[in-house]
Amino acid sequence: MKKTTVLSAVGLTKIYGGILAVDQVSLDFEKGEVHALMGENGAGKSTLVKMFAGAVHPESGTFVIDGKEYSSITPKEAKEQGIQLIYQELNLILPLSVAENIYLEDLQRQGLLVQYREIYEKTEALLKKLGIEIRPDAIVETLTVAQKQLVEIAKAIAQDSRVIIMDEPTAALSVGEIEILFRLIRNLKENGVTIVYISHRMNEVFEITDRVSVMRDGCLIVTKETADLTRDELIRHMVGRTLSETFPESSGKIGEIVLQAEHITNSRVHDVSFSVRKGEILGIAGLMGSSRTELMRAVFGADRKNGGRVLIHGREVRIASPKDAVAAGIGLVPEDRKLQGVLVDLSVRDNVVLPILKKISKLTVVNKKEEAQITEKYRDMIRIKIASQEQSVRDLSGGNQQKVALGKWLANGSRILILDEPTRGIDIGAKQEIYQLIHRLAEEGMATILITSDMEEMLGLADRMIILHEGCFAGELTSREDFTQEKVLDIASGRK
Amino acid sequence: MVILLLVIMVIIFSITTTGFATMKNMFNILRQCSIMGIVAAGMAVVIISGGIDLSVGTNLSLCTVLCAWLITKQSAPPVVACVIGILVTTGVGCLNGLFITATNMPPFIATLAMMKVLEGVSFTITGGMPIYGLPDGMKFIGQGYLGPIPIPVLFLAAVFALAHFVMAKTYLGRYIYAVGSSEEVARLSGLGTRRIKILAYVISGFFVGLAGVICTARIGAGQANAGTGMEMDVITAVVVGGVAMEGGKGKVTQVIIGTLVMGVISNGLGIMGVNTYGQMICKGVILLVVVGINCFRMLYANEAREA
Repeated sequence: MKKTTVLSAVGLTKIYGGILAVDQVSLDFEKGEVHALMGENGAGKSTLVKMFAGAVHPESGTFVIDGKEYSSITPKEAKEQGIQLIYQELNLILPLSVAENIYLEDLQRQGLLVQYREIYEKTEALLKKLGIEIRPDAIVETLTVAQKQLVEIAKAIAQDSRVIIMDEPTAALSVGEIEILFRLIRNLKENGVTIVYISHRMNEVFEITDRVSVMRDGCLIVTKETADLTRDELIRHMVGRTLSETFPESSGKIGEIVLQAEHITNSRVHDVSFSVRKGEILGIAGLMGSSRTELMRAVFGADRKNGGRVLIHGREVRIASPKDAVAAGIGLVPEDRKLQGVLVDLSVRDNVVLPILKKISKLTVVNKKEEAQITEKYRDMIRIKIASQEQSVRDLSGGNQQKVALGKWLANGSRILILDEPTRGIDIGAKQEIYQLIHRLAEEGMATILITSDMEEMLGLADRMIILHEGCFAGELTSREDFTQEKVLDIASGRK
Repeated sequence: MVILLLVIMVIIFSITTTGFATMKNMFNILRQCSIMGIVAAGMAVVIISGGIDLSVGTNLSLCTVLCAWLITKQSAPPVVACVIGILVTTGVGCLNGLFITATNMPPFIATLAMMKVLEGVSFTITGGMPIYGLPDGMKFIGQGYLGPIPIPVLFLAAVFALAHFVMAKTYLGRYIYAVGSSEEVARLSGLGTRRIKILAYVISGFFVGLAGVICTARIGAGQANAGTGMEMDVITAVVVGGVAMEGGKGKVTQVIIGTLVMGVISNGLGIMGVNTYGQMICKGVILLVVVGINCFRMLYANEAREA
């Protein structure tokens, strides 16, 4: 079959504040291929694809679409040419229905009144064709993140896109939902649609893509057939040095029970009990919607509990708010770093000392010296890369932000850590550091509870696993020999 | 940034008018903006905490009415009347905080409702007529001087020093910044966010009380419309001083500058013979320009960061 190029970049360059974000990138996308775009955070992937979508204008370079050359392109022109970018932060209008969102741009052509029957019918047919089980009249706000993601893709398809760019589409999806997405992608490919696929997850890239392009520091490093690449080779291209995606060996010193949660119940969680020991990493596995996060939020006091109790070192502790949990030595690193984990507008120091401010104050006055010393201690210990303690957290990379979110609990002397998706959206080098840190803390006696959608991460890090299914306890895997993806999925899907 | 604006304005008024650049007039400006400045310090705390307090104006009116009524109609000693006035305004602040945190209603609405309620209360007490007949000793607080310095200016300085101390040096201030920056992050970090938010409104109410006492003494009466419309001037001063409406950002020291900018405009334009209507236009334009420039710079900074 002869390959035709639908979209090319020729020497695209973009400068932000004196820094070359994208440096002379030339790249071809062929009709009907799934093309992975990989690279660490800040490598320039997002900037590059934003240029294709017309959201960012290049300093120099051109686009070639169907053999025609453009020096710059507006978002409207990009749409007309059938180029669709699905942003990481989804671009749906929450109070409107699925159908209204999908046919938003058609609405204005229908005159003053929305032809609801027509768009509902069209949407229903479309969703059915794609195998997505969502009602056309469902309000987008009520959907899960995964469903929203699927609606975005349906929207792109409805607009007769020829090139669909997906920026980390699986970041919020569970294994089952990723399957649906992959089926969609294969379907699109057969119909000649080109998919540009940005992801940090190696497995997915090897499973679904035909070619891989790797970017580093704004430059295109390599473009290769996926089949000709090995995992190690790919990582080497991304980081520019040899680094294996491996998990440290567990030291195995597991002590007494530190935290016991008994019969935790609320609107999302049904009678779940578990315990975690000193030095143990307990994995909480489950598909999206299994209420892993909700369980831990209930234990931490962030959500209301209707029943159940929490014991720490065998003594019952009343946890009605996160304040109680923190006082009991529990720390939560939440799944949404920027909205729940760190105060992005404040400095690294302000964030790290936040839980202990009162303790290091005399007559309400904060001891600035102590504050700086403590921040320095944890900055060194967990290697937060910053120019100064006053640096705003917003300016840090995802990995460093996560270290700040973790650092505040270490500063607080927390002995129980709940980590919810600790490496989501973090590049591979920083991931390794976080893994090592989690291990080191466990060796020092930290009782750790880990929630992650990254199956490899779960299998690699956890000492023991409990598995949830729709808010209920579904099973437990107690020894690492039992850890296989199939077993976890079997229990998680409620089959057993 | 804003300090540059202040300096430029002072230079322009100094050159174009006679009578602006005198020591006496400088103290005059400070005296004229002292009541608004004291209220602005409290408003800054509330806005940094992520809220807003629209009830400050009518809360201040109520304070003047209560003080005057207690002194003239109930023959209370002025000190007792003033303390009661301040307690009531502080209590109003506390109520604002309680309503907002208990129901999670938007602060704009809660304090808007409070603003109307308090206005009604003041007019019910006075029947719309000013309450005159305050003793001369009381008037000293509003009209007296210590050496060359007007007494209200001393209060203004003390309030800003206190507000700065709380916000910059104590953990309570840091908590207020944290809650304003992201309530959810603060809550998940183990902070008692409700109490912190209530505290911000209490501080605002307390400062309104102080300003109310000075206002009573200055106009020598209790008036149900003494603070009408003041909330918007106060918010203007706070925002021109660089406090962001979304909370978590801004410094009390900058709010002093914002207050002075407003004071200098009124005074300087007054000397130039521009009437109040002209001054309004000028203040509006300055608010637009200053906040416009700030927001535009943010936008630019964010775009650069996206890279």
